[in-house]
Amino acid sequence: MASPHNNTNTESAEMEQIITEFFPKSLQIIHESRSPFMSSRDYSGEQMVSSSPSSSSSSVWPRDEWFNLALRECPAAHENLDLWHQSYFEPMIVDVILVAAPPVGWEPERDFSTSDQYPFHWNSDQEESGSEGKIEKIVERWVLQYEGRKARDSGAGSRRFSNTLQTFYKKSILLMRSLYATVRLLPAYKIFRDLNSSGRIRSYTLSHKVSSFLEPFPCKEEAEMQRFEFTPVDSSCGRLCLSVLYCSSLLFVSPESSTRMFPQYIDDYVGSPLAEPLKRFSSPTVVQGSLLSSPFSRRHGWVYDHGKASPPSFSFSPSPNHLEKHGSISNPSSCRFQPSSLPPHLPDLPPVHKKNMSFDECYPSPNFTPSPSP
Amino acid sequence: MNCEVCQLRELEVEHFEIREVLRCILHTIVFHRALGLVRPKDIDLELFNITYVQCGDVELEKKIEEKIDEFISWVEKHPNKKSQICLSFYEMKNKHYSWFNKNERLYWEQWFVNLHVTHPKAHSGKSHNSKPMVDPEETGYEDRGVRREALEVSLRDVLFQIIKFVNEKKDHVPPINEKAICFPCEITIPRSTAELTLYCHYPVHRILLLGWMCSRGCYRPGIQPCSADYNSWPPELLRRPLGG
Repeated sequence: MASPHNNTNTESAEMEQIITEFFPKSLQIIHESRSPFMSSRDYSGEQMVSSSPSSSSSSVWPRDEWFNLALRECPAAHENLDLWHQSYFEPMIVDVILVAAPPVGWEPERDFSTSDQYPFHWNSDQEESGSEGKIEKIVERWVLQYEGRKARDSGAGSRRFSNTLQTFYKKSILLMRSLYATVRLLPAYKIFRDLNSSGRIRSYTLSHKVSSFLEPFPCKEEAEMQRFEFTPVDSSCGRLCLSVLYCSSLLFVSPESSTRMFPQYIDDYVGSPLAEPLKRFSSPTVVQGSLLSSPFSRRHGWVYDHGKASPPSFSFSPSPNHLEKHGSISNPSSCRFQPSSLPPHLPDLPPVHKKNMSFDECYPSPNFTPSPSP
Repeated sequence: MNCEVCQLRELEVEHFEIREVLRCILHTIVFHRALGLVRPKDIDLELFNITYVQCGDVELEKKIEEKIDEFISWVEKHPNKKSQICLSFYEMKNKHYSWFNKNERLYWEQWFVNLHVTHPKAHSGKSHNSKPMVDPEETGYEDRGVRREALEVSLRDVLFQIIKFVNEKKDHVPPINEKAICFPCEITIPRSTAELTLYCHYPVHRILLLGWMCSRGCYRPGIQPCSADYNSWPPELLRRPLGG
């Protein structure tokens, strides 16, 4: 019969494993709903209804079943997490970044009266495939942390600790459920859905960055973001904490630029008596509707300037601020950017250091399942 | 064990929106109470830009659809009424009495989904002023668009309300049964706000005081008998006892 001391050591190890798994699992949930083309959501119909969720053999993809949430294993979400494997006391900061193409003819040294109108950070360091760089804006910042507390005397015995372990895992499962639901309700999810669901080429994409240090936003910018804090989950030695700062709305507005076209009457619209029945609609001035199928597309429009397209400016309500420099960018999805007449003002910031990440590491499935409570 | 109650914000919906709204809300709650191993399914609503999550259990989905069908049938017979759907989670407890054993449901959580089903306003074709007549169809379309956006915002608020409640109150949740995906639950379709039934977790006994009692006849004066605070409920939401 195992001694109470051995039981305590085993349960302590299991507790630590739960805490360690909290980070990659949370990151996977965030990553899958923010990184286009990396989602386990299968638009080809992988998500079959199954009366036996544990029958993973019927799944196309192997699944990570930690916290009773069977998600497709996502190597990208587990890349470079050695730091948190070694010490789960390090916070994990996950920045979700909206990346867009700069406007055509935009000059970084243009001076504007206020930087508040142009929230984007100008990344002039990246010149890939002829790209002139990208505009980036942190739209979400997730903070995952295990806060330790002073070591407590576990003199109450292993039985109480065992209950704590079961309760801790149960509450962690609840936390993961809430996280999974919340990431789908925040504004950035609409962008992710739009990027993933259609084959249309966008001038913007989502990227994310994982780091262990928190570079604060400017006070004004942070004040304009909303915060959602998940209730911490207590363990015997600390607590799991999870929160998010996010832009409450991602509105796409028409660019306020000198290249904006004045409205013109189109006489030969399809169906017009002036138009030939089979005439192709080829007016030089075309006001195109939204590029997005999402709600915030209602308030914007692109204006073609002699065949050139102007991407929408990203206006965040309330009035946005410029983006402060942060660490490296990871996993930018490739996309073609259309020219734009958007004249954002961007501060003179140091170039972004790009971090190369590979996604070859696979994460083993858990073999820990706490026994049901006595 | 406390029975925690969550009264969700009332939503004003039209008939054709009921199914999607209820699916979204009920599945979101169930997803947070399906603590067994689940393979989550993302569902995009068709009427709103909202994605909710299902736990992937076929039986639960069927149960929810049946109850939604029941509710819709009731709404068709009782138009323009405020109504409430109750989703309750319980544990089965075996009560030992001196002469028999009885399995009793111990409710530990109740969710009240409040809906006000309305009918779209009819537009008059007559103009009573000198202003140019606006196409009523166009006005109706715009109004409907505004209303739909407002409902989407409200629905999202309700989903956040669920998430916040789940986050803030965890201690009352029973231990997880690894053999089951979800805690046992029932969905109650009340007839109308005048006939709402309340369930509490106390054993059934009748105490008559001020004419108020819950459907199990449980009420203790001066003490909150169940999760609901009777004093804060408007009278029409409680059922009066029949006789003495």
